[in-house]
Amino acid sequence: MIRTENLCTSYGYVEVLKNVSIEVKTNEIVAIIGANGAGKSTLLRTISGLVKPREGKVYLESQAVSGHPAYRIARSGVSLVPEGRQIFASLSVLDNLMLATNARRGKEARLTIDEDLERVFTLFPVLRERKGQHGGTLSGGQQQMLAIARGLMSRPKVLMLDEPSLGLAPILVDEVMKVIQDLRKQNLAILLVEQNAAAALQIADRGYVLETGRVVLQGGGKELLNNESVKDHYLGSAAFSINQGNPNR
Amino acid sequence: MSPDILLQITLSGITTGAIYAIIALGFIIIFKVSGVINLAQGEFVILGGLAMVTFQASLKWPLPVAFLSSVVVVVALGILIERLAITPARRARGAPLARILIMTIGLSTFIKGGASIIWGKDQYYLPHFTGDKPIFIFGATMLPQHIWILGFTVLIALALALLFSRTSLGKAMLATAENPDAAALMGINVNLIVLVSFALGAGLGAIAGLLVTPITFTGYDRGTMIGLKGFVAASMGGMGSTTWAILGGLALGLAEAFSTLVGFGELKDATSFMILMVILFFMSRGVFARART
Ligand SMILES: Nc1ncnc2c1ncn2[C@@H]1O[C@H](COP(=O)(O)OP(=O)(O)OP(=O)(O)O)[C@@H](O)[C@H]1O
Ligand SMILES: [Mg+2]
Repeated sequence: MIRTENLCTSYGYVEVLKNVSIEVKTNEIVAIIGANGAGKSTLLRTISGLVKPREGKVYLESQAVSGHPAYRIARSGVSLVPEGRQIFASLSVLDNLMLATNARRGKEARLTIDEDLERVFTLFPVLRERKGQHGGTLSGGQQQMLAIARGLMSRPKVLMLDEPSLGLAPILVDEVMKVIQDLRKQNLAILLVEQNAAAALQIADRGYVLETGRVVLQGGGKELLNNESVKDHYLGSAAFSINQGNPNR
Repeated sequence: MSPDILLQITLSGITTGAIYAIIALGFIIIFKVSGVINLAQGEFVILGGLAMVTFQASLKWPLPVAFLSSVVVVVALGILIERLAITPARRARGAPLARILIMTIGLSTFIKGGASIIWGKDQYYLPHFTGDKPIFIFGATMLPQHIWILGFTVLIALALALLFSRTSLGKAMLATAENPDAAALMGINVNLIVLVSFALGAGLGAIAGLLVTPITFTGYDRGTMIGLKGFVAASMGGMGSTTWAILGGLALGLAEAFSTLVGFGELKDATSFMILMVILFFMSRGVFARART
């Protein structure tokens, strides 16, 4: 469904992504794990068009979308639930959800808005209770639910989530992961970025390990979960690099 | 002091304030959506009046047609300026908003030059919309034009309230104002929304100019002063919400009107500058924090 090919992104002179090639298929959850500053958010921001890649391409259903402005990429079906939620605090919960429907194109997609609204309210009943309230008045966990629900309201083919578990109590992390797992069945390609590698790999079909902007390891979710170096570096207390001593770095 | 005079001053303060309020709304909408403080806002006001002079006084078009045409011309100029100057500057890597602010000063000088070529350096006036027979209210007098001004202010306030609370365009503007990146992720064409905000700001400026010219005269170089008044009004309202901009405008109009009580006619303009200085001194951190980033 979505694929990147040798993606390179820089901020000024600082190279953040180096030849990143990943792929996510429909009905698949792919996790990207990596330490602070590895470039996970930059990867998602590049795919979503908020940042332009210096080199490389992003393909959505074999069509190149890299270079398109972010709003057009959103309209072609790529939805990013950004790091830090970034909900519109001054707008109501319902307005937040409805804004995402700007990304819908075509008459049929517009006709299913009410239906989809019902669906996200069923998924997150607390949002229905609070739909008239300003987004800023919600608790952190509720804001995360709103951010995910908003991401779904654009009716995406690809859903990218940037650290949805950040700052949530463990019980909420489980709940959010459960929701993401259930979404897989709905014809979505899900790209999940997490520092909470254990939680992400448990629900992921496949995963990539990102280190200083490079993919250093990839494999099935369970496989990575049992990988010795992943265990050492991302599942225990994060320590040093998998790639230590690699002359190519 | 007789209550008649107090009422008279209050009424005239409110009508002047209403004009400032409309100009302030233009400032606020552009600032909130794009982060740009557009110091060419006063020129939109003047151009509205001058275009009306051409359409109504010279070409003898009927009032409603001339009115709409003037607004359209100024809106078109606002759109042109946004596309040719503001958007390229906003896109330029590391263009801080202070630089764009200076650019808008340059734009205002440019427009002034253009206006002096087209309309010369004369003063112009316009006929009142519906005659100039004073209306007596409890011993004070008002002109029909004052009623038009107040009526349009109320209409504009209601229309904006509807825009921002009921329409998806208005919501998209609010979302863009709060977080442009997140708005883009919602499929909102942020550049288009910024363009709309400039069109709206220019249109509001033009309407203010059209309404006020029959009672104040106009000329190519009047924009700086009236633009500054609008800016002061917007700042008094904290550069934040449309409601506060309207209150800021009314407060400034009243402050000016009552300052004439103290004696000098010239104190009227000085009042605005004093208020501006106080605001810049005490509130610059809060109000203009965003302009710096
Ligand atoms: N706007 C920016 N300008 C300059 N450098 C940036 C910018 N955003 C991120 N960086 C740098 O790029 C690198 C990668 O950042 P990124 O946010 O993609 O990492 P991350 O893997 O998402 O980290 P985290 O786990 O902390 O969210 C970091 O070194 C960061 O300092
Ligand atoms: Mg990140």
